[in-house]
Amino acid sequence: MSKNMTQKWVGTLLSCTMLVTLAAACSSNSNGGNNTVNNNGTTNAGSNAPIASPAAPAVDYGDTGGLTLPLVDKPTEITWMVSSDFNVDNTLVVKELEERTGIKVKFQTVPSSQYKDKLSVTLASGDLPDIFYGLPINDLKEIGQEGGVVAINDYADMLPNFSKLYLEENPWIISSYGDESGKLFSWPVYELNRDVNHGFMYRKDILDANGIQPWTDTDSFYSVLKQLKEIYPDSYPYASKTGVGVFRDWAYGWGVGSYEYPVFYNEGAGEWQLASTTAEHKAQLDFMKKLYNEGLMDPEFITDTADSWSSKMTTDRSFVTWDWIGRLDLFYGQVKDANPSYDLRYGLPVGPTGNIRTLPKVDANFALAVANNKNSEASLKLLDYLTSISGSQLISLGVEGVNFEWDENGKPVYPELADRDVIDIFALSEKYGMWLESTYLRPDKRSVYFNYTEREQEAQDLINSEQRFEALDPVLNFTADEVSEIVDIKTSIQTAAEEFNTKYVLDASYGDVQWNEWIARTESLGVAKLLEIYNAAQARYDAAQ
Amino acid sequence: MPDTNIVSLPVKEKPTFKSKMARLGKRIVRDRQLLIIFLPCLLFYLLFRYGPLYGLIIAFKDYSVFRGIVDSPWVGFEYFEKFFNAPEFWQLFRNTFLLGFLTLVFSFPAPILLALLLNEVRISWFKKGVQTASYLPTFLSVVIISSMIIDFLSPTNGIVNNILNSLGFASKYFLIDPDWFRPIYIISEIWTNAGYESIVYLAAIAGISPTLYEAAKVDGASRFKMIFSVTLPSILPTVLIMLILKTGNMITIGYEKVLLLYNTMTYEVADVFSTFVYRKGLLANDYSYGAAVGLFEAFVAMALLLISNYVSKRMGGNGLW
Amino acid sequence: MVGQRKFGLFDLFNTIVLALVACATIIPLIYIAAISLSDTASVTQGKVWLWPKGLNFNAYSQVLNDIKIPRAYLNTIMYTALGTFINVFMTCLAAYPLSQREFVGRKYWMFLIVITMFLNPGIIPNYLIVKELGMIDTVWALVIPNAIWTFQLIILKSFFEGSSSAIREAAKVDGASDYRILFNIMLPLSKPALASIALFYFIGHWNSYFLPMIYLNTDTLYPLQVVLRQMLVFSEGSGSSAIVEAAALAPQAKKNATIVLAMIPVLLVYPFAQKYFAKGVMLGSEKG
Repeated sequence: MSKNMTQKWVGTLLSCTMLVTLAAACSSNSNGGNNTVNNNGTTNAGSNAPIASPAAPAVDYGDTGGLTLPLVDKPTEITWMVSSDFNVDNTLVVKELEERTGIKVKFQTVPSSQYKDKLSVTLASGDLPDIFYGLPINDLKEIGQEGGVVAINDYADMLPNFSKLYLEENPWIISSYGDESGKLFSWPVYELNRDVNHGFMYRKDILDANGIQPWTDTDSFYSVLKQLKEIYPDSYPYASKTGVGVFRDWAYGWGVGSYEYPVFYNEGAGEWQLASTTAEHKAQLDFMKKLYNEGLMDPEFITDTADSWSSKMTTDRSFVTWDWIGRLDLFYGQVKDANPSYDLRYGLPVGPTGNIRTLPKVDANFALAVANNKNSEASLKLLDYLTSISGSQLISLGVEGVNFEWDENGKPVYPELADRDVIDIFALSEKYGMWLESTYLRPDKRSVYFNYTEREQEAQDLINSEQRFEALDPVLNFTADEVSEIVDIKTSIQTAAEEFNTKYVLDASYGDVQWNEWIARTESLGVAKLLEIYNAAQARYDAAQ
Repeated sequence: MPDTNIVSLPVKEKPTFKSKMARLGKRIVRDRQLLIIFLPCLLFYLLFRYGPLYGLIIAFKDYSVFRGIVDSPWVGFEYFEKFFNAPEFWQLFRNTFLLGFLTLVFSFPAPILLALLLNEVRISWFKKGVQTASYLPTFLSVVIISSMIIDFLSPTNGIVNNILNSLGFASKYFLIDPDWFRPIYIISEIWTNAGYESIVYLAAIAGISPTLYEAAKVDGASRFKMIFSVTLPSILPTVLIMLILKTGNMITIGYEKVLLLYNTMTYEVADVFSTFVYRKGLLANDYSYGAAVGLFEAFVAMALLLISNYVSKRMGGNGLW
Repeated sequence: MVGQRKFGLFDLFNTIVLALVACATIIPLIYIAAISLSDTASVTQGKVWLWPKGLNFNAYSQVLNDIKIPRAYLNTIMYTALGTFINVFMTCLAAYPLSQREFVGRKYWMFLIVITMFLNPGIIPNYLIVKELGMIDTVWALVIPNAIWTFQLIILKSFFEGSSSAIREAAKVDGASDYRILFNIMLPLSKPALASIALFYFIGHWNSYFLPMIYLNTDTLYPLQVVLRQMLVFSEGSGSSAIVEAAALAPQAKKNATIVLAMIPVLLVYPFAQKYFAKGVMLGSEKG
């Protein structure tokens, strides 16, 4: 290879680079204008036609809960950082919001997989979006105390919907989600959760084919698995893909479940305890151990991947599992071509309590916050509007007559999306900007989100008919120091508990001796201090009620 | 006394500051062209590698994202103390060190061997084909690779156990056996990286002057012998550099792969510094803690690098500087 | 000069070992490709091994029909070409002076450079600097802050060192400037080294996904890996109750299709780069 070749090579590369640089310069020029983060809420008077704002709206936008539309005197732009995989700049929702409230919302959409990192760098670089969510609640409280975000309840008099729904009807959220001085920095979300979202499920077609009745309690659960094993000796009737999460998921059935697992609130004793050392937990472990030893539980439950578990559940190598409710229909959809009689159904809870977890009605863990700047008041009013019936309908249903109609069952139908196979919140979000994460502050129950399929409805009914819900543990409020201490101790205890639980089930030699050693071990890891912190916070919570 | 037989050695004058500066000045002038060529690199490192280093002080501060690096309060060595006093510290240290060391020992020779073997291939398409195939795994993400490993090693229907069964052995649940964690990790590291890393050695081999081989052949060396007498010695500088660099990197084990391959039954050997920090981070964002651990790891890594560089030079080889 | 060597025992052993290596690395990829071409039911049931079952191209058509894909491909090609060029250029400029034994301050430069490999202050300080330079949301954020990888710099420097410094002496005697020596003498001599670091940089750019996500805000600037990953998250859906129809794809098929699509262009580049690794003349054979 000679000098000429090299020169030619270098020459080609240089010209490519120049072309490429030109292209890059062009594209960055044309994008240069759009991406400055407007944290000062500069008005874009140039690019928007001014809205006839001060006059009262000619259109009736429904129940605004006492807010007067439009919300601002002059055109205002607000930046809202959300996790979304589509750009929603010119969608129906954005346009409607601008028309109704006078506020132009610039949604800064960030791909969901990188949201947390993007939020960190955005905050670190000093560009707080006007509205954002996703920080851990304790971090948000710190920022609030330093004046970075506003205390929502300070502005309660201009926020009628917030005042009614939360201050009046659900005042406990201040003591749970606010800071020590009673300031709330995160806007709650109202009634987003369905009643039943996870649980045990089983192959109804297999059970029917073999004349087995679905279980109604723990003993019959065991007996169903045993019968299945006899008929299908090469199978492991119960499979799991949640790895070590299986202990936490089953815990509700034994009365020791909690969102703070392995710490839980014992209603009877009125105090927080460590689930992993209670007698109930031992009973749960013993039951699991029995299933494992008799070949009723998949021996690789602790390492099984989602793909492998899917394959077992759809090829008659396992028949019972615990998962998110959507799986009932998802599996059917995936394998019906190969096996049309495949029928996965929701089963009753397993464990002495016979209950599943309760999903909170009001949740502020989103940590939806408003930055403390020129636009704070406008942002707050916007959030209040989205909490009103009128605003929440826009976000969760749309605009009647414009993008949806009511069908005979009182459910919304979207003619423009008729050709899509699936009309879920992703489709609505892509096409109309509806259902963007953190904007659905009070979803309308008629929205497609609450469309239950037959299987899902069956699940809701099964649990609701007997109110099989474990009491929801109080949401406690910790100081920054407490959080720091908790993290240290809890990580150690949680790790040790997971190790112990797994060994207890998998290792035949583990028994009472090891159980007692385990209890002693937690003491040396600092469980007493951990529970002390929890119970102190509980005392504060009780006092605040 | 008459010491006419002893040649008096010129007394070495202690170099004065001035003379040192003068010498330096001369060298700068002599190397001015090189310095100009070097300038962009210098600017780059200053701006993009040293510039951000002020962020390391996060490890000594109670960092909050909002307050920023400069305004967060100093806490000195608090996070380091917390870390060293954690009950798991020694287990983590042992695990991290052993995993890193064993990975280095077993995975270091693989790319070299691969390059040597590839070099001996005559048939062009075969050589290109194997080369291309060997570095494809680097395109797979850690998640995919770990999934595959878990599936292959499944005790109920994984490939490995199927083969064992057909050979008459019982199935073994490898993934929960602490004794198997390191071998599995190391083998998967070799599989993923050997091809990619062999590229460097192949390039080194390509630069060996053919006359050396001619000479050896004239001396009657077999192909096998030529590898030892010509190829290996010629690529020794490259090998040493890679060895030094990898020794430095030995204990900086990323959390992702371990996280995906370990489970509660193997924590006791598999849990390393980075996975520990990761689990803590799940409960609460603690940048300062993570930064402290990172700084500690960096410190150990630098020490390892300095030691291995020194050893290499002492033993007559080349070093990084 | 010398005729073809005969195919001896060593060659046999060599061939077998290398064939096994190739199998070990290719088979998992065939497995991935097979899944991407199979029908939903077979994939979910885990029935696909090395051959597609229910051959169909749905996964590929779904991925390729997304309007973001062509733009993303173009972006990646542009970033990779520009980035690799800058990388190689800068690395050469850095490696050449460092490779001269008498270069003033050489030991100190090396030390300062090497320790940067271990000190990683995290994404935030880096982000702040990139922001100060006004590079956020431009292609420059992807090619400048990582213009030199210390690892490659060290490799290239050690290659340059291998080239005899006598060459430089001789050239200097002839009155050549260092610029000429570098570009007209060292570079042509170092093709294998240049090719190898270029390849590493190329792969780095092609696979990169985290930094583009952090530094870019406009979705029309996203490279391929980012767009592909966005698609996967979406298709896995969660939370809403989906009305599931026959067209619901098994997520593995789509995921694997994205992997294959991202890999194909690279497979085409490598053989092109490989010729730089070929030895000039190997004893006992003639090379094309």
